[in-house]
Amino acid sequence: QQSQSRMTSLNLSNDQPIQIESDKLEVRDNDRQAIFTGNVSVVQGETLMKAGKMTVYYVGQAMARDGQQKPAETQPAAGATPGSADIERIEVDGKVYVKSESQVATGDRATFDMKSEVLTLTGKEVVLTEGENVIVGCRLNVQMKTGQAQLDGCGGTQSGGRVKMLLQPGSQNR
Amino acid sequence: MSNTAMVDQTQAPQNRAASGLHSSAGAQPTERVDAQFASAARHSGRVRLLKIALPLAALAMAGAFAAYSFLSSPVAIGFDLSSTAIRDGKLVMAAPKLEGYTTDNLPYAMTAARAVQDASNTNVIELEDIDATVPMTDGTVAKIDARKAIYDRLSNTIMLNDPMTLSTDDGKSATFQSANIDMGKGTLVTEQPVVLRIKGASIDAGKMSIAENGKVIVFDNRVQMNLDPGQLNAGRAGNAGSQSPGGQSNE
Repeated sequence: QQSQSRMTSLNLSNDQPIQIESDKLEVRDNDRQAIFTGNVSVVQGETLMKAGKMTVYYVGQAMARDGQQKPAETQPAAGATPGSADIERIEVDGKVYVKSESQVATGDRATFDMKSEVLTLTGKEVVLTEGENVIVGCRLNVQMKTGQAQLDGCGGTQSGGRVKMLLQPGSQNR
Repeated sequence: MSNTAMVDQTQAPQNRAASGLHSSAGAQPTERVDAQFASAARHSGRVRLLKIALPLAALAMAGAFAAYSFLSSPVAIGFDLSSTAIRDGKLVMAAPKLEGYTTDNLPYAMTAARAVQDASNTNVIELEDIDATVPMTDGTVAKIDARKAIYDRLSNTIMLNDPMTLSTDDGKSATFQSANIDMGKGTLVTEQPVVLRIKGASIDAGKMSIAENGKVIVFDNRVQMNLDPGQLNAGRAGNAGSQSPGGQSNE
């Protein structure tokens, strides 16, 4: 079953500056991908994400090309001016660590789906920590707009997976 | 494992306490999202986030523009030698001016303080204090300011061991400490730090290489990207003008 809590996550919609660092960045315009590898860190205000690799999938034209406009351009609305590329989805791998003001979440992989505005953190053990409270499950969904977070147990076919919860006494009425 | 569809499995929400940690019954964990929230998330059609998404690619474009502005290989090269002198076996041209047209028939021009050509190898021309204007595909014009460049007509390459800056009138700029450009192969490689700026975003990297005329760009030796979504959005809203989908619904 799940448990729900509130978590401010990386919220690309407000205007706070964002700083991204990595050892390497490769931009493959044909595949519409920007791949950050090696000690990747993304900081926006109070929110920090760290991972081994981050791949950004975008649509539209990163660079307007003369005359080589592919006929069936999927998203004409993306506009032909360079830089009007929009991000479709971001995939993060290699030990993901997300920290917001009060909570830390860790897992193996994370996906930011820009259409649904949902961050999904998955892994053998997804750990959500708030103060002394530790919750372990297999899948954390965060609505990026509201920060509402929902941690699912490792259910599926085997035994009904339970969300393991460790609540420190006296911490509920923080 | 595709998890993008998961939000759409909305089901009528049971009534449950608004907040606090609790577990709700359910044989196996299904993604239950409050119906109103899910519909709220969908109501803005093209999701607001998408419109003001982080245009990382825009930054990559800044790198690509550096390549493209160099690699729009000149078709016709006209050399105007205002005054030429021969000194110790070297042909020295003062204030050479070079004009030509790129493959898409756009004019470009380059002037230099001096051009020096060794009589024994006339394919190699050393240029000093170079100022060039090169048209960009998006209609802007890139100004190039380089202290020294060695242009090899045979291999169609330009080698710079000194700083070079490229800038456009709409605020894009790229600063190199050195660069090897191969116009034939469409590559630009610099082993030294590079700084790229567009309005609202910047990339600093230890080194950079551009291949396939800008289709593949690799920043290496530690990359730092700073983005100012506010400025980036303003920039896009500006040039997106009327065609920005969904209008500016500011929630």
